[in-house]
Order: sequence, then structure tokens, then C-alpha cells
Amino acid sequence: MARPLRVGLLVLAAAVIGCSSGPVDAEFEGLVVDEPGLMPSVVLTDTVGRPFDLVANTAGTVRLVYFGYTRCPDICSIHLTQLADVLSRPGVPTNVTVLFVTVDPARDTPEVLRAYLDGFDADFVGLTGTPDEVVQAQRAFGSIVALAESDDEDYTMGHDGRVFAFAPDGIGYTQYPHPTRQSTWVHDIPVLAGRRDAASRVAEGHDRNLEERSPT
Amino acid sequence: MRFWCSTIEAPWSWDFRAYPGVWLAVVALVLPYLLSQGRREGPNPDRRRHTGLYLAGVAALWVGSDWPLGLLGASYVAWAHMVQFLLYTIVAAPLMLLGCPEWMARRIAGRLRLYRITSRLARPVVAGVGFNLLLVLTHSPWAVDSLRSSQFGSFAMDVVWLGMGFMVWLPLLSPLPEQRLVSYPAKMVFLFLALGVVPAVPAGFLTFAGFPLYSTYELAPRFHGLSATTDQQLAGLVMKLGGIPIIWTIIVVMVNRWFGQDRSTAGQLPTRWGSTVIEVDGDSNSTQVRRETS
Repeated sequence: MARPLRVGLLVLAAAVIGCSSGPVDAEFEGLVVDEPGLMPSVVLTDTVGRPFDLVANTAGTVRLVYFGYTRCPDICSIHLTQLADVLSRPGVPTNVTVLFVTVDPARDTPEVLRAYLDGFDADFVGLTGTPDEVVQAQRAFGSIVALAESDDEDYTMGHDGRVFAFAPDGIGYTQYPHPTRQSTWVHDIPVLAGRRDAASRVAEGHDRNLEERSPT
Repeated sequence: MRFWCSTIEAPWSWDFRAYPGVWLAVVALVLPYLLSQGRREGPNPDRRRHTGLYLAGVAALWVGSDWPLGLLGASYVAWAHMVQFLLYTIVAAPLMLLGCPEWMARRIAGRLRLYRITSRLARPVVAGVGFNLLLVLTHSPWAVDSLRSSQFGSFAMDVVWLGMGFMVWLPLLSPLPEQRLVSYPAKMVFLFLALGVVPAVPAGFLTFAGFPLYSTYELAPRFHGLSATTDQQLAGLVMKLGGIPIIWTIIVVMVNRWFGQDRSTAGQLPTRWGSTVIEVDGDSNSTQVRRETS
């Protein structure tokens, strides 16, 4: 066999082996979580004042959970705008729920929250609670707990910039820090939306190790 | 305070922001020009017209660099970036060249030893290819995202744009007559190809790209709710269509002058189309067509 042909075949074989033996989660462009866990079961209050169970009320959808506040001068609006743009694209799965949990419940009243989110997408879910409930929710998701950065009346909040993503199977495979580009979202959301088989496995009790790792 | 417009993370606001570097640049361009014009002792024909054109060019540069357009283009929206580009290259640069009298251009070229360089740059192929290569380079996502993020990078990009503008207009409007193209058809073809056709290619990429190409504008706080994709499509349209009125107006003016030139030489030189000869009598304004027989 001619040398160039042999070299070519070796390169091709190496490429095939390299592709097939890669980690499964390399299919995500977002930050892949080392040990994916189940979505924490947290109950907060929606913008109409009703209790909202983050797991039960969003079952069967891709859940994108973000902890922010309406007076955020930069990253909150960028994340939400990116998501609104991406979710309005043709071909992007529609079973996606964006959950915006305020870390500033004192100023983000349900009305303020609703008006803010309507500026991006009326389907975005706004959630609030008592200061303690909001802190507990952040801890349950493994988010950095937000803190006011000064005592001023017009204070800003230092908060986590990640969007926590959960597939319809309830497992948080990936997270999306700021900045995340639209191409990443458009690539990953269909992959997340397709993670349904694992849900049935969890339901049937075949994947107990995942349940044991869940923070709840 | 920043000296030049570059990417910032704050939401867009119509509150005025000062960029002293832009003002300094404007002063640095205007003051020496006016002093030089004022001190001129020799003949200085068309002084007012030259000064007006030059100041109009610098004003276009100022509008393109300073708040609000400069900041919008450096930080928020791609369409403003393209408007800036057009202002620099097809408004400011040609006006500044038109406003530069020959004696001043010769003095600058002599003192800074620029004559050889400008003569080479004024060759149509060099000017056209160089301009379009730099156009593609300075509109690549890498260049925009890395240069616009810092003041020095942003300043460098603006300087390159102005330089590109001078380069592409030199074959047409160089203050030194020996560097200009002589024939009108050559001028029109050059203008059409260099500024009309090639820039449409990157403009098409912007208009039809599936995703926002520039992270600078994609991840910027939104300007009046304009989505990143729509903004990019607008930028493509601005790039593709923005220059057309100016370029085609110039081409129409050139066509008129070309015909005017032909009329003025009519009666002296017959026009031939194969065996057909057209002779125009300039005095009686009559045309005679005859067929030559061999």
C-alpha cells in the first residue's frame, strides 16, 4: 500500500476512534456539570401571587433557571434578551420554561417583576419569595448567594451569572455563564429537549444513582 | 472618563458622555490646516471652497467618532458601526482630499516623504484591492471584537478606516493631479468596482448570517429593544445600500462631465463605431452620421 494512503487511513481511523470514544456530554457547548443532579424541588411565589413549584409546574419542559434582579445594570438583561431572541427562532423547541428568580425581593415586587420580564418575553416566569426563601432557593441550586454591594438606597447586587439548565428528565446537565452566545443556546436547547429517555429510566427506578446524587 | 469610544457594559443611555480624545483629534486635524491656509503667501485659488470642504470632512469624522454614534458603533449596535465606516470612508475622506489644496499636499508629501507611497497607493489596483482587503479584515468578527473592546484598539480601527478612505479615493481625488486617473470611464469603473461591488460581499454575509457574528453587539445591552439578529441584518443593509446614493451620484456627475468633455471636443475628433462615423459640429450643434466605405 502506498505510504500516503496508509497515512491517510491511519489519520481517518484515529479520527473515528477519537470521535466515538469522546465523553457523551461533549454534545453540549455550555458548561458541562461533572455530576449532573436532579432539579431541586423548591416552591416560590409567581407574579400573580400563587405558589409555584419549580419542578412540578414545569414538568416535561427544558427548565432554564436564573437568579437575578430587575435593576441589574448589565448581565441580567443580556441573558434574558439572548434567551428571548433564541426562543423566538424557528426550529428551536418550544417546550422551554425560563424561570427568573429575583434575588432582590424587597424591590422586585411581583408587579415590577412581571413588567420587567414582559419587556423580554411574556412567557418568562417571574418568581419571588421571602428573603429567606430566595436564599434557600439559591443554595438548593448551588448558586452563589446574592448580596447587596452597598448600603445605598440605589444598591446593586452581586449575584451568580449562571443560567442553570435542566432537561425534561429533570437533570441539570449544563450551566451557562455570562456571556453565552446565541449559537451555544441554539445548539444546546434541542439536545436538552431530547433528554427524555433518562426521565423514564429515573421514573422506573433504573437510574437510582442519579437520584442519590440529587441535592434534595 | 475615556478618551475614545470603546465597548462598555452599561445599558445604553442618551446621557451625554465626553470623549476628549475625539475633540483633540478634531483640533489636531483642523488647527494646522487653518494655520497653514492663513500663512499661505503664494497664490491660493479656491481657498474658501477648499476650507469648506475640508471642514465638512472633519465634521463628518467628528460625527462618526464622538458620542452618540461613536459609542453606539463601538459598543451597542452593528448598524452604527457600519454608518461610522461609511462616514469615514465615503464622506470624510473624500471631502478632506477635496479640501486639500495642491500646494498643501505637495508640502505635506515633501516634508513627510509621502510622495512615493501615495503615488503607489494611488494606483487603481493597489487602492481598490488594498481598500477591500482592509474592509474585510476590519469587519471580521475577530478584529471588531478585539479592537472595539479597548480604547486604543478602537482608535486604531478608526485611524485605519480613515486611511482606507484616503487610499480608495486617491486615484479619483488626489490633490496631486499626476496621481489621478485621467479618463472618466476608468474613474467610473474603479469607483463601481472598488466601492460598489466588492463591499456587497461582506454585507451579504452580515445580512444572511444565521447567528450574530460580532460578540460585541450580540452581548451588548439592547439599544431600544433591537435584537442582535435584526441589528446585524440592518448593518448588512447599511453596508450594502448606504454608499449607493453617494457612489451613483458621483458616477452620474462623471457621466455628465464625460459627455461635456466629448461635446467640447466635438467637431475636432469624429467618433467611430466600426465603419460608422459620427461628427458633431459644436457651432451649429448638429450631428452628422456617415458610413465609411473601404
